Parts: sequence; C-alpha cells; structure tokens
Amino acid sequence: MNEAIDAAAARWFAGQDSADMDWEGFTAWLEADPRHREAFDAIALLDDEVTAQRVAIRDAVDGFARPVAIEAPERRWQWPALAAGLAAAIVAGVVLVPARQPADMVWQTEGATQTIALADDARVVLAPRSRLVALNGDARRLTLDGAAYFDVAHRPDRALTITAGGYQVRDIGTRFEISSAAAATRVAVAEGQVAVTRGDAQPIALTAGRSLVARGTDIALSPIVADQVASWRGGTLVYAHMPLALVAEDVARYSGVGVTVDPRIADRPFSGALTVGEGAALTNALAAIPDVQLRRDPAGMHLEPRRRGG
Amino acid sequence: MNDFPSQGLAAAYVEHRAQLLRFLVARTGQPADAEELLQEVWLKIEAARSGPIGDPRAYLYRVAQNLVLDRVREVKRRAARERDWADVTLDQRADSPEPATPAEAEAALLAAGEAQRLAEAIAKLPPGAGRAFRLHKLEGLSHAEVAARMGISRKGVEGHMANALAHLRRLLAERDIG
Repeated sequence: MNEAIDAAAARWFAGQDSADMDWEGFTAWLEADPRHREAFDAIALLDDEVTAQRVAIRDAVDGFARPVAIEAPERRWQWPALAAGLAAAIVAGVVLVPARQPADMVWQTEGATQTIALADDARVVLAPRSRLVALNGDARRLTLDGAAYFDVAHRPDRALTITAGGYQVRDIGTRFEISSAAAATRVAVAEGQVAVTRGDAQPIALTAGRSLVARGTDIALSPIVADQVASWRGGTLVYAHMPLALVAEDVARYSGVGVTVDPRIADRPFSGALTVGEGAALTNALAAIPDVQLRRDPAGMHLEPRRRGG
Repeated sequence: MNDFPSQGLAAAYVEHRAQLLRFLVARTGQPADAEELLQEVWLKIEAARSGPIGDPRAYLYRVAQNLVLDRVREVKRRAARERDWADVTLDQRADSPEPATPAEAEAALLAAGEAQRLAEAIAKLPPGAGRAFRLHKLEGLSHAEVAARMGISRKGVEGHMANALAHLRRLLAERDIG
C-alpha cells in the first residue's frame, strides 16, 4: 500500500464536488498509473461504506447500544510452548487459533426492551430478559435467547440468519418476530417472508400473516394478524389457541413474574389478550381460564388443573 | 414549452462525449466497460427531470463517477459472496402472489461488527480531520455547513476530509473494508 498514492486519491476524492474540480487533471492522474485507480476505488468504497453504515457508526461512536464485547482469548504460535501446549490442547479437544477472533457483540436486556440499529435500515427490538449475539461481530449471523422483533428493509443482496432454540430463521428483509424459550420456538411474520429450518431439514417458508410454533420436530402453523406480531412491544400479549406453557413463558419474560404450568395442562390452548405490567389484570386474566386454578406463592404464580368440588 | 430541462445536459453530453469516454477508460481501466458506462450516462440524463444545472460538464462527470462506483461496489459484493455462507434466500417481491423461489443470495456487508470497526478507526483520527469527518459523514452536514461550524474555509474542510480518508484507509487496510 502506497501512502503517497492513497493521499493523492483521498485529495481527488474529497475535491470532486467542489466548483473547481479539475476533471481533466483527474483523468490524467488516473492514466498515469494503474495503481491510482485502485487506490481511488478503495477510498470511494470506504466512503461508501461509512455512508451505508452511518447510523450504526454514529450509535457506536455515541455508545448508544452499549454492547458488551466478549473478547476471545488471544492465542499465539510460540515454538517453545507449542509442543507441550499442543499435546494438552489435543487432549482437551481445543482448536488452536493462530489469529485472534473478532469479538462477539452481545446485547442483553433486563426489565425493559431495547432497540438496536444493526444498520441504517435494519432494526431489532429486543424483548425484556432476552439476549442477542452477533457472532464475531457479524450482524448477518445472530443468535437469540428470548424474543425480538425484527424490522429489516428488503435488500435482495443481504440475508440474515437468526439462530434461536435450535432453529435457523433466514430472511432478506421483512418484519417478523422470533421467540425462543424452553417450551418452544415461535416465528411470526407481519410482512415479507422468512425461511425456518432446523439443521439440514427442508426449510419452511413462512409468509406474512403466518406464524409457526415449533417444539422439537413438531411444527404447527397458524394465521396471525400482522398487527399482533410482537404485540408485547405495546404491552399486550395476544393469543389464539396457544399452549399454556408458552403463554406462561411469555408472562414470565414480559412481566418479570415467574409462572409455572402443571404438565397436565401445559398443552391446553389459550385464547385471549393479556396486559403486561398491570399485576392485577394479568392475574385476573390467568385466573379466568376455564378449568385452570391460579395459585400464588413466594416463588410466583402456578397454573394448575382446577380441583373438582373446590 | 421545453419539457427537457436536461436539454442543456444533452448538449453538454454531445460536446464532452470524447472527454467523458477518456475519463471512463482511465477510471475503469476497461475500454469495453467504459463504452457501456457512457451509454448509461446518456440514459440517466435522458430520464432526468431536474432543474437547471449550473455546470453541466461537472454534472456529467459526477454521473459517470457514481456509475463507476456502483460497478465497483458490485464487484466487491460478488467477491464477498464467494466466501460467504448464504446459499438460500428468498426473493420476495411485494407484487408477487405466490411464494418466492429460493435464489442464490448476494451477501452485502451488513455488519454491526463492520460499523464498530469503522467507529473505532474514526475515533483514532487527528482532531481537525476527525471532527470534519464526523460532521460531514455522520451528522450529514454539507462541506459549506461544516466550514461554517468549524470556522474554516471550504478548502479547509476538503483538506480535512482528504486527511481523514487517507488515515482511515491506512487504519483499515488489513481489514480490507475499503
């Protein structure tokens, strides 16, 4: 890399919009050496990249997202230590990396949601008590624990993969929600289309107005109203025939109140709307489920089958 | 009534065509591409419905320059795709009723990680260059507005921008972002 050429390229680039830009001089400079055009390409692409990432860069500069960067341990090739280290590493099953891995970017929420700008036109609203990780800082490959709402502009040249609960959701620009927890992984699409797959299985295309509930290999598809996708952003949880176990997990996530569900009624379908954040209303709504009893103790709420003759 | 404010542009194109071609050959290093791009310049100005343009010649050069950048960006993305994992994507068009067919994805550089690295490099710029660069590129101020804000001339702002870009190029060279 030639610093003098780069400096000249940068000067030509910076002056191209001024009234006295010497286009003939610029042409002559380009003709003088093929390295000049390469240097100019590099400068132009760099400027272009900054423009494309403007919002995300500004956020990073301001520390807005306050990511928790996890540094992978640095490993070096050092001959004296290598033999012993190598033997130990092989025993431990560790792969030696000659270069340092780029850091993961991690966003972790507590009681509130957090809006993350992945790019100028890609936004994620992370639900409470959830965690989003960009592996090695690459925002095209995300891992999600908990729930998030994705609003990604359609760009045919860009694809995102989000791994959640053992499933991969692939998308090129849509509005959708992913919710992953122990009981199930759910994907609901408000606009656009995603592909949901598990390992090497045939992907399932999920279009707007459809939602998917996946538990192991058991997958259920159902319609959903676009407005109701990620309704938790507005403080309500809306369900149509959703297994109680999943409702309970959502309540725990969005209200911070632990809810357990007796296995005998874990699959009982629930339909209705729950308001998050208003303790009494939430309790009343849960208690009103037919044949279900709500018990409270210091650990939280417990949904159990209603005892007869009670 | 002249429906083509670009008539001035069309005349300028005819007048400067040879120079524009020479520029495009020098800029791309590919005479065949240069001819194609010159055609694209023509198509662009034919379709344009802009207001009066003070300097048609400079405008034409800028159009040509932007078209070259589009190509260079495309080449870079294709190269990134070679080493990328994306093998299935969905070609979703709002006006198509049937489900989309999978098509090979061209992965662009969407990466919060890239933004982070750019931000770190920008933070390392010398004070004047860094300030001018942030005001212009991140806050979106024009060169003239940056000049007013910093109390310097427009030429001064250009100097700072050139300095900033050269520094960033050096800082980011190993990452091959630019």
